[in-house]
Amino acid sequence: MAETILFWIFAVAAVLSALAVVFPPFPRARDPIHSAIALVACFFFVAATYALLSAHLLAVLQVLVYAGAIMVLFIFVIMLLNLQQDESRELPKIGLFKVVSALAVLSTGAALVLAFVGEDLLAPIQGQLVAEVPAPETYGTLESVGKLLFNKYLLPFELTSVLLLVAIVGSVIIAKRDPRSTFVPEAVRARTARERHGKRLPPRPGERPAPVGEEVVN
Amino acid sequence: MTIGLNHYLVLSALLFSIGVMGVLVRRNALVVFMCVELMLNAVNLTFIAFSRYRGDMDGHVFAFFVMAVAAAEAAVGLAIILALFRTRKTLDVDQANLMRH
Repeated sequence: MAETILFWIFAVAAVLSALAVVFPPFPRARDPIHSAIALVACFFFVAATYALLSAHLLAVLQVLVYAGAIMVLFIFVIMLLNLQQDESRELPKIGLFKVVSALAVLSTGAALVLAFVGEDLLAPIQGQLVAEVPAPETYGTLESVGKLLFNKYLLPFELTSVLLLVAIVGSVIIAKRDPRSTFVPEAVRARTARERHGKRLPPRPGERPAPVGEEVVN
Repeated sequence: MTIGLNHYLVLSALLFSIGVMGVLVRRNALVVFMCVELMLNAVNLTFIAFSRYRGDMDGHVFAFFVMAVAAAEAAVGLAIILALFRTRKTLDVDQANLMRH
């Protein structure tokens, strides 16, 4: 009974936060940062669903890796890009392509949902559905995943380590600034030019302006 | 009603289709990438639901690998987005159309 209530709460919340990623509910929330926060919420609810399925290790890993590392990386990138307002205020262009693709996605989603809800697909295995067979004590724990990972799936495990190394090297190379074409913001360039010429900076807000007779550059 | 395998699969299908819709509709490259991560999560949920139904743990290991690959892909993809922004000063994927026509 508790599982039913919890499943419905987590499932509805996960779908609503996923919809908030794609279609921001408030007119001012069209920034990528609002989508990132909605996605973090979705990841938390999906991790709770994993816990309902007795996948304890993966529930914790979902929070640690997805919500704790990948989304933090996203938010750092959003902060570093420092998007100006006109880029982040994104009006959805309703063109023919968008409408047709949305219809295609909706029909695919409906087909997927109906395929799973239909009775004949899962008829031979009706007796072994999730809630009817209780999970053993060692199901979904770190130890049992580790036993599989180092025995049966040792080769994919080692290949994943190579993949992570390649990803590290690749991302450093791609994101590295080319010294010849460094993008310096206009304010920084102007300020360093002023300092180089020895002129005074304009007064900060709240300060009295410099007395007459001394050079002030606007 | 008891929660069966169907419920988890329907939830996963819904999350996947919302992710696909996001990739097609949104124009900001960061949000497109976030919807790709949403799709990967839906696939993870399918793996774990089927693993629970079958009683073995192979689905957990596969979902573990999907998470590792998603982390690597996030790093490389965000580096690409940074490089894209640096040259074009915009993140609009509709404006990255040099190879069209």
